[in-house]
Amino acid sequence: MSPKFVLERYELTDREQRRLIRVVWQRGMSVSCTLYRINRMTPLYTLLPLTCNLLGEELVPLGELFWVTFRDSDLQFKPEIDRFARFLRDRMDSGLIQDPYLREVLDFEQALNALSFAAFQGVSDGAVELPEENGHGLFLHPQVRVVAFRHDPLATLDALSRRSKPSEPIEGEFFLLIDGRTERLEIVPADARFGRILLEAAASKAGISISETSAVLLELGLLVGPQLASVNEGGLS
Amino acid sequence: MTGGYAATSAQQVDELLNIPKLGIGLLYNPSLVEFLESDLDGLDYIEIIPDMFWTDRGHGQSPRYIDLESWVRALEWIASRWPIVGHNIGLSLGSADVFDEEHLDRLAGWVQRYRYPWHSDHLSFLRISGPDGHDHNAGLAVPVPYDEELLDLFINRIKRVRQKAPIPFLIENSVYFVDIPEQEMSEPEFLNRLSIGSGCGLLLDLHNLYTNSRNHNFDPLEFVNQLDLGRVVEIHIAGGSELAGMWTDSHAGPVSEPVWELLAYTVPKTANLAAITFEFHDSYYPLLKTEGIRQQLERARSSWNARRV
Repeated sequence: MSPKFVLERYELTDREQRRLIRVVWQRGMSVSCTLYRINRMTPLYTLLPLTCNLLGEELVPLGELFWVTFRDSDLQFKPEIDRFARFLRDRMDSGLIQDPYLREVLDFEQALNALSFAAFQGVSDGAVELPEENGHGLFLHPQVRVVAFRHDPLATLDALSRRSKPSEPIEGEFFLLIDGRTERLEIVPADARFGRILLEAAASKAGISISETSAVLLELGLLVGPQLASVNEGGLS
Repeated sequence: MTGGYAATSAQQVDELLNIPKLGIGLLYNPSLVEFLESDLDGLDYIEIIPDMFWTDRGHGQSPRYIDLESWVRALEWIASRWPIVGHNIGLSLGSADVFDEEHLDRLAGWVQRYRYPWHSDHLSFLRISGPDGHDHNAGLAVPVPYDEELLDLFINRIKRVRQKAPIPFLIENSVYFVDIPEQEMSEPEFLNRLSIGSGCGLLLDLHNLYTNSRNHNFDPLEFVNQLDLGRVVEIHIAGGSELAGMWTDSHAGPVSEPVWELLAYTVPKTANLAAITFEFHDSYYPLLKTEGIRQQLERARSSWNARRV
């Protein structure tokens, strides 16, 4: 593409045009482009390290495609990884990525990040509310996330944290609970019965009804009433 | 304007004289928590990049800025122990058609909140106005040409910053990887005139200077000699690394040896130096560890003790 063709789209003085034409051929231009790529890769690798490890050699070509799709970036970490997660989910939904572990690993890291970045002003420690009189209106505690896995999560995440691919971990129905109610996030496996209910509560807009199982979770403070559930609205979760 | 810095007004000199002399500090990154919990004595202040502590949801959003709660909690703990200095990255003072007053208001709010003795930003730009009214981020600090037109732009914008946040403001010399042809003045001349014209002080990043001198083959000592060192309030020191045949300001671990030499040369010539800040990228904490950081700070302190008092 000729410089004239590119530059005529902008209102530039003769000196500005001469400068750009001379600058674009300098080796520093290529270094600047590489630094731009590093700066856009940094949020992904910092906040989605296991997802990046799982993508392995596919990460760079996917990253380049992502940058073409989302040219405008503010380079803030949280919005950038949300955009990248959306990009990966679209490709998984349309069958362009078929990695069996990707969705659950991405869910897990996004849940971790949601808790790290969210604003929780107004959440009082250990507060447990009663549900409404008709027994409906139970929600997942705003500082708790539950993630469903189709493969043994501990084996999967352990392999990825060692930069290895998961080596056929046991398949089944697994849940990890990420608990942000304490000073540091706690990650613990959840019983499948509890996991299903917590997942349902997380997805429900009206809240779930009370039952023998949900009553246990209510007592543990993992399920809460609507008032406490809404305290992080306007946050970033 | 050769030697223009001789025209420093009495009021400007007074402002620089009155800046508290803090000593040796660190640019905050999340890996520092362990170090900060273990070392209260070797450190005189903490410098922060305020933009790291919030998410900016962009123009027109309400609220536009949301604090990152866990980060701010850590900052509150730090602020209860050390003075905090603000080092901004988002004013983008060199953008031709973008100047974000809301962002400036936000920064001014943090100036009050954490009672910075001064704050700073860079001699560069990174925002470009986008077609949909949102700013595009260039992804790295883009150098500006040292021309009269840019000098006027920077002077007017720094005056605006000083109006809204009436504390000393410093401008930092940036790294550049390309040589912009046909510039009207040298970088030291631009910085000297900018400092006098706008009333700002200078943040002399010696690693940036070393990087530029190495990549563009000039004598960094000559640069230091040409700079009005009476306007230098803060010095940055750091390490770097090579990328595709050029040295970069990657803040890779310990301070580069030539930067120590520049520090030893420069500090005794400064009259109003208030702080020396060690910067490193958090990914290099496993290399430095607590002891490595302490060694860097101790070495910086021996240079600090050689300043003019």
